[in-house]
Amino acid sequence: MKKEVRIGISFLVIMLALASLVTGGVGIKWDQESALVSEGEKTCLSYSVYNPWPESTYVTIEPSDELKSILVLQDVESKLVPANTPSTQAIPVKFCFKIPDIYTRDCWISGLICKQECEEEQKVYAGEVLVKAVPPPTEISGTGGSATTMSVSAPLNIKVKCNAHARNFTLLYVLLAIIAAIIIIILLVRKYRKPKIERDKERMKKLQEKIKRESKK
Amino acid sequence: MGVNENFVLAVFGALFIFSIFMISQTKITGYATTGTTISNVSIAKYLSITMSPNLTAGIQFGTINILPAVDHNATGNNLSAGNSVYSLNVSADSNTPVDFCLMANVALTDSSNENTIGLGNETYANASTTSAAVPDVTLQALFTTGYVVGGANVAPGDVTFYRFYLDVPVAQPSGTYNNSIGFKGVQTEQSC
Repeated sequence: MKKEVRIGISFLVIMLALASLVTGGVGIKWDQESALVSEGEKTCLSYSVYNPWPESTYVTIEPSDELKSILVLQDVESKLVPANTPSTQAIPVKFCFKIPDIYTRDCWISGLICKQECEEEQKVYAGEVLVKAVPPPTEISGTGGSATTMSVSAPLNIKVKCNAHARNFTLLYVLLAIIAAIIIIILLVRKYRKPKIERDKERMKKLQEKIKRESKK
Repeated sequence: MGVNENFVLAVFGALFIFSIFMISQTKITGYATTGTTISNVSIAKYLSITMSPNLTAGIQFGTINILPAVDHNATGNNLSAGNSVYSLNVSADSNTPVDFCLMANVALTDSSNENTIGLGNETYANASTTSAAVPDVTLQALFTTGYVVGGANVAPGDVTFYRFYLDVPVAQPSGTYNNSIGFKGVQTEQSC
């Protein structure tokens, strides 16, 4: 065996041995622990993920179970965090969600015309944002035992803003305008569809009938 | 078109104009301007953890041939010259101490027949160092299905070592039992 090949194989063996001693990790960087969001609106929060460890990791970002019960989640994407990514070069990850309507509204016509008085106390939901390493590193088989998973978290309090407003009739006005416009168009089409001579004849006929009625009186 | 039709046309024309007027009224907004200067500060926190390779590979208890088994050691508990090879590390590239939280998703379960080894039978002990006697088996804590702190106030760059134990009752049916253990790093004093 050539010397170069022996050196190459030795190098490979050493690298494999070293690789078995190291593993990837997960890191989270955050600069906000609470968010004021409006009900019914989509909100995105930005976190950063990093991995100062010598092996790359796939991570996902998601809320803890306490927040999952209230948030309507958008897509959860997994992201590759390369090995040796320090906190100074952390990778931004957006975390988007929507808060459903949670405050009481007084509505008419199947929820079309509503007012909101915001007399309830502000609702605050406490939980965490989790960065999880995926997929779970190992599935135990054979003699049995416990697979292990790893995550890090940042606290997050979501304060839901209630937007008080009077009953909003805009939709009703829009509907009225549409209906009025349709009826106006129908009437104008009916009016101008016939030739002028026919329209004049009809008018003449009606006038004659009117004269006849009035002369009888 | 008779008088009635003209009247109807006029009414709906008025209605249309009224609706458009009302819609336009709801859109009126105003702006006030003031002179300001901006002052802000951003406080960032960051933490990163990793598991030792043996912990990443899972917690294995091997084959148990004699029942009952009490405080049966996981295979990595004393693997490195009597020291534990199970550890969680906090990166030096963190700016906050970390609490480690642990939980089990379910009791160890044989998926082929749903037999379980009770959750309270799988335990762990943790310490900031490792030796033949540390982490100490007498300080073991039970796994639960909710996260609980199992390693508190670990400074950036520091390590927490673990040992895992399993009790198996005498009447436990034979089989292969599995579950999943979660490790979570949180900022110290933040609840798990």
